[in-house]
This record gives sequence, structure tokens and C-alpha cells, in this order.
Amino acid sequence: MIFPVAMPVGTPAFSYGSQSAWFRKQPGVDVFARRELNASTLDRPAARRPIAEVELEIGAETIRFSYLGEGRLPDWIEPVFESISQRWGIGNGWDGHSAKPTSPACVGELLNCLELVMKSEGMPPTMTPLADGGMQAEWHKNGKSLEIVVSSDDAPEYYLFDPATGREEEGCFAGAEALVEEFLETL
Amino acid sequence: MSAPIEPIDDASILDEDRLLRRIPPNQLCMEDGKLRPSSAVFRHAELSVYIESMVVAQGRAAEDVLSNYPNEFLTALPVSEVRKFPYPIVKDNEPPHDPAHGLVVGKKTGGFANAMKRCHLWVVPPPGS
Repeated sequence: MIFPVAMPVGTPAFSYGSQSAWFRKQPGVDVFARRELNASTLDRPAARRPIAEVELEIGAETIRFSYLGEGRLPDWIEPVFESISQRWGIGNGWDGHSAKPTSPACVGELLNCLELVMKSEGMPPTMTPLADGGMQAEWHKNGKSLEIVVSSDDAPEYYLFDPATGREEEGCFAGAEALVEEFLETL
Repeated sequence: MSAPIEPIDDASILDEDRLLRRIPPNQLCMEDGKLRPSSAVFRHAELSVYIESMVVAQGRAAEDVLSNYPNEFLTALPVSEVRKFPYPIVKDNEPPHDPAHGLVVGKKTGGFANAMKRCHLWVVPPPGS
């Protein structure tokens, strides 16, 4: 469920509870700071302000994410949250093996990665839980694949593959936002 | 303090064998009109599998691996494909584990996870795959 809400101004994009979803510093890079720099230097948008709070009913639990944006919710928000809520890993061993429950903090961090590379009307990814409590966003089209992976014990990573050219790359998401955004536009 | 023991690839698991893996519905992904396991399945640092030849040697069908998991599906990875990457395959069949249980050990790359997604073969496929 998505509904408007009044929130204190100050934290961009998604937050979970009282913490920014950028809860981990990237190695050598402050992504949160760079994000603000990009936003202010590229097109000087209006100040971020509270747009909505998103509630997910996961099992018996309600999990809330706050979104602070620049005018309106991106179009991809609704299908992405639908995918998250349908595919959330609930409880220990949800995969029939030894999986840990999906971590809301990892999901929040992944949402902020999406915010960095997706256009509002962009093709929404499928959100798939990882066994370590993390989650990955994945796009597949015409044999091409793009993944953004937020695991519980590593900084966010990306993976891309284009069978037509044999191009296959992976690495740390921080610093590769432009590359990921460019590949996403080819899907 | 002694150093941790590095797992060693078990050569008694032959390249011609297959590793069976259960797939839950929330780790399926639609790709160009077909359902496949997401690469997320194969990123696990201790990827839990069943060694097909050991399942069969016990007089069980491969599908028996799903007996307590009616909502899941079953896929198979050729051992030869797994061994193209530097992750040891080991037996992990001491009680309480299944006598045919094994692990593919090591922190996985996206390259490995996606290669497994591309080479997998359904044993019990989901509808629409």
C-alpha cells in the first residue's frame, strides 16, 4: 500500500525506519553524498521532500519504507514493491535450505540503487531474494541480463551480460551507476 | 590456533554426474517467455545440492528430493559445468543431512551464478517453463 505522508525533510530516496537505506559506506566512496552532488549539479531539481510511505504486509509483519523525492513517485515503484512483497523470503529456511529471512535494510539499499539508475517509466525489474537475507533486482530481455545485487555482507554489485556481443561484466555498483544506467537503456 | 581447513574438490564426484537443486517459487524468473531459476539461487556461499548418482544408488528417483517440498521445483547442474569455476564440490552427507547431500563451496561471482542459470536442466519444471 502506498500513501502520502508528512515526514521530516532531509533524507533522500528510500529509508527504512529511522535510518537511511544507505546504511553501509561503499568502499572509498560515499554514494549518498555523490547522489546529492549529482542531483544538484546535473539538473538542479527542486529540494527533495516527503512524497510517500510504502507499507508492505509481510507475513504477520508490516514493513514501512519512506520515499523522499522531487515531485512524484516514479512509475516503477508500484510494480517493484509488488514484486518485493510477492517474493520476500519469510522466516528461516524459506528456500527449503538454510536461507535467512529477507532483510528490510538490504531491500532499502537496493531500492536506492534503483533510484540512481532507473528512469521513472523504465522497465521494472523482478526482485529476487538471496539466501543470505539480501535481494537482487534483475532484468532479462532478448537474452541480455542485468542484475543489481545487495547481499547482507557486501557492498552492492552489478552484473551484466549481452550474448550478442559476448560482453559480460560485474563489479562494485558504486562508481558504475552510469554504466548500469546505459546498459539498462538497451534492454 | 590452527588455520581453517580449505575444502577440497571431491574427485569421486564424476564430471558426468549432475547436482540436483530445489528451486522455490520466489526464486523463479521469467526470461524471454520461459521460467528459469534466478541466478540468486546459485550465489549461495554454501550451495546445497544433491548428488544425482548417490540419490539413484539409494534406489530413489531424482524427484524424491522434492518429497517434502511439494511447492518447489527441481533442476540439475552438470558437474562438468560447475567445475569450470574454482568452487570445490564436496559431500556433506553425515547425519542429519541426506545421504546424497553435497555442497558447492565458496563465495560465488555473478559469472558463476549466471552460467549455472544458463546450463541448468529442469528435472521437475514449473508450469510455463
